[in-house]
Amino acid sequence: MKFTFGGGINELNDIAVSPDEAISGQNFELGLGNTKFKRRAAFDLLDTSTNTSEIHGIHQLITRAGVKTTLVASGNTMYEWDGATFTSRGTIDVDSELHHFEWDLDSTIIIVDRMQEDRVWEWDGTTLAALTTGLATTHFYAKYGLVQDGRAVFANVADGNGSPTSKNPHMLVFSQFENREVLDTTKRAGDSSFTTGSEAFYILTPDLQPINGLIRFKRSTIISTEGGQLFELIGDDSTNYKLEPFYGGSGAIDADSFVNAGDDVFYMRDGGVIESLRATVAYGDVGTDDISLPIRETVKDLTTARAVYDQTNQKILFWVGTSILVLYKNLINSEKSPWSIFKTAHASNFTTKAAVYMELPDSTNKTVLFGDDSGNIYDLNGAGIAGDAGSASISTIRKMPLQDFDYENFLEGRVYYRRQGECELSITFEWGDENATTNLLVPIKGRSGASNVNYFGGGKYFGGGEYFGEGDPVGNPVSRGFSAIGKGSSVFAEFQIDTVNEFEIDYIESPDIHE
Amino acid sequence: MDFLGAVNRVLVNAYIIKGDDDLLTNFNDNQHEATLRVAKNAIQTELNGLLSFFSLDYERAQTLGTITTVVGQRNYALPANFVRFWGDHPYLVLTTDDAERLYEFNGGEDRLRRLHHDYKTNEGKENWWYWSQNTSKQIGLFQVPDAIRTYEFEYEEDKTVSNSTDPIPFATEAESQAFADMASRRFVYMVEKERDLANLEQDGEYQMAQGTLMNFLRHRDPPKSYGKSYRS
Repeated sequence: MKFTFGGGINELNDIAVSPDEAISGQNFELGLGNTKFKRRAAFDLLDTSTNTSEIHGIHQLITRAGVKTTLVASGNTMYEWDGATFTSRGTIDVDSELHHFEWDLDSTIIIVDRMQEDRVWEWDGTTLAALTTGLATTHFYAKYGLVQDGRAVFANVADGNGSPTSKNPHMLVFSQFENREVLDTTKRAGDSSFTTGSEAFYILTPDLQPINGLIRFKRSTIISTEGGQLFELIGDDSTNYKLEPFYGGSGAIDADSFVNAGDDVFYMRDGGVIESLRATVAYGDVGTDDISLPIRETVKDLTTARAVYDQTNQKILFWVGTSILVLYKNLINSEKSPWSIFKTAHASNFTTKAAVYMELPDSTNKTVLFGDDSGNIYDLNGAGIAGDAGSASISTIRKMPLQDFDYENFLEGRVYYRRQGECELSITFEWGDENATTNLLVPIKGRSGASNVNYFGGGKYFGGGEYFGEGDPVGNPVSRGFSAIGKGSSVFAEFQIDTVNEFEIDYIESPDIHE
Repeated sequence: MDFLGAVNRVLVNAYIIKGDDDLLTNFNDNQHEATLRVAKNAIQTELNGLLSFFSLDYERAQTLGTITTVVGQRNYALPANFVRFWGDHPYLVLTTDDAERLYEFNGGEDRLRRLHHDYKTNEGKENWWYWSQNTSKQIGLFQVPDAIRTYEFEYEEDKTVSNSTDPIPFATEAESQAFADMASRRFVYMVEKERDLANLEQDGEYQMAQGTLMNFLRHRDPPKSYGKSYRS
């Protein structure tokens, strides 16, 4: 048996899954064509806000002139953050969960609140101000927003004065054409008074249910309602916009589980199932839609998810409680599970109210930033050389499917790896028929630290003082053996490494285990 | 060479330790736990076979054993590391008089019982020793001592190995290596299921290592006038 690690977590059963999938595990990295056992990147602590309060929004504006500013909502303060210092730019509601969309025509971002605790804000790179709407209301609230056909569109809106007193969760408000500062909540689309087609207007959801999703999908803009339906926005001006049924059995739940991943949209529906909209449209609500089928046991009780698409690394991340479900986009159409689960021993515990894919404030590298309840901001794709936030060990686990064994052998094998960081591979064998588990530890060596590697040839000949054999610092393959006590009719093998260091295990071979 | 060194030699010979593997540094390291256990058993089995078969030079105790008699006490414990008396016709010698020696009672306790029904209690000057069967190695004295006297004796120590630092009981490194090579073949026959352990004695490598060891152990050189082929 040669253990390779190309597949993700597959909880469907213990036997009939691909041998390089994991029946359980966490923190391992996947990738198209990758078969190695590697840990996810450690996340880096980038900075801590001045008031050390909960991070509940991270926003970024890059103007047409290329000027980049980043905002961080921490407690009751909206800070401008340049990667090193925080400058207060206004007071916000501590219970808000802020998202933004770009109004590029005037180089601003418009900030909406999923919790509808705070009004709609606008940031122009210097000033944080309430969005001018032209409405009679003092404050205008919206849970969702985007730009559609040259208009700012707000969904699930409310009026109020300090708190949303007049709620219209089933309403979409469209700004005037190319003017986000003129809204109208008195005229429906197609109003008889409209003449130019550029007028502001509103639309209600056809099922009059609250909106819990507003997202683009290919050439369409899709809204989701709590009643479990998806509608498609049809039309091109104020005289003819309307919502048409798109899919009637979506059952989408939660306020923030929709995510656009380029050519597809994923969302969580009743039962914690994560659906692919593309598959839903093509095939209807059948089992194959369920992109989360391999991790059914993990997701079955989930009711919320905060979804982010990491385009650089082709991952769709679902923050759920104290872990992140990671969907590897490149593996979706492979025959292997595309799922891994990230967990951390760090105090942040992956519990967040703000996670966003954007550029780092001080570079053009795009990554996923997230905050915690103490004002800390992290880069999920950190440098990864000293554990989570520079200190916490990462426990990387893969439990492999059940393999055959027999009582005539005892279990031997070798671990083939590259010297990266020093760590210890813990292998646990769970024996069939014997109700017993045995564990062994294989020390994995780190890089030798030598500046010059002695290669076979030239002046570095095999023999004498230049011995060819010790592992080297450039990651050439080496191996270490192991043998485990215990026997059984079958065996589960679980591989675990707890370390702050990086490691890279090519494969693990055991001729006595039968696939 | 100690027990750990022998285990390492066995595992290296069998290509268990290779590549990036380090030699074992202790018996608690469980990276090679299964093969480690078998290697230990192979060494102990081979060693026990040799120790039981004949007397190794290394076994002879470098200090004499002593027994001090107690008035009215029949049985006396031998040293904890006692395996057997050294030499043929072993005896105990009185420390104060080299001429006073106690030899084994011919026929042992069973014959003594039949000849002297009161052998357990009859006190007097002791003349013989006999094996007294017990849970530890003991000898009885006949007659049961009636005074305090001290005897000394030569014996062979227990040289089986259990701790990693226990020495392999050979005087030279070469002898230890040859012995470890024998144990290596036993190890291979124990772990490779296609090999029948009963065939170990016919294994050429095993025979060669055994012959090497025996040549090292014998106490005389072959005549130098004969050639190499004669030596082997």
